[in-house]
Amino acid sequence: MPRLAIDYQPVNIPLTKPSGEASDREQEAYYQWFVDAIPYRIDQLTKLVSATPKFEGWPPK
Amino acid sequence: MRGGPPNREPDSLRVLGAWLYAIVKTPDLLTIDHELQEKLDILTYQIPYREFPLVPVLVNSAAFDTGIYLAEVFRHNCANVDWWLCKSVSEGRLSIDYGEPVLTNFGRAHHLNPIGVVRTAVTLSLLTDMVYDGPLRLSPSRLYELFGHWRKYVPIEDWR
Repeated sequence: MPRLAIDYQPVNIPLTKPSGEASDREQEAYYQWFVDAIPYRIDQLTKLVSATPKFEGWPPK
Repeated sequence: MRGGPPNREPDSLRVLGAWLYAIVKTPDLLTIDHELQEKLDILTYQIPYREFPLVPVLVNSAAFDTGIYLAEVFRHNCANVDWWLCKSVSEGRLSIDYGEPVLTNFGRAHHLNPIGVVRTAVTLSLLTDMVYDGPLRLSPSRLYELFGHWRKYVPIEDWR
């Protein structure tokens, strides 16, 4: 049975309400979290894709 | 990381889009180790608010990550495209993307919410096999098509 990478960490957005309803301060904190998370999320995506059968060759070099 | 860092070239979206379609449409590919399942269960329990409650947590996360990668392809290839906290207000109404990280400098379209467009395609695909067969639904080529659609808004002088 195919198995995905066990070390994939699903995204956990630090908001408890829609961003449009958050305060300016909460939105700014969310945005900063998001920008900081980009390299990690790309790394997580790469792990997940390359651990999927038939997609091991992604990302292209 | 098996294949090294992604090259962030547009063609890399073709395989990534096929992968996203595969994990949405082929439940067997989502057969996962119990360790990851425990993480997903905890996450589902802990988050009182989820933007797309009908989408499985792992698929939602994969769509989120795919949207980020779509954005990074634009940033890598377009000089002035960058992240921005959307504060758009038009004619007194907040943008649908208000408060979300979006990409700016998309010409007359103003900005792109890359995560939003990917999530929309995934959500429609999950919801609408029964009721919707329109152009927004997910397909193996949909991610690359989204890139092709949105690239038209980037001023040509901004392309590297």
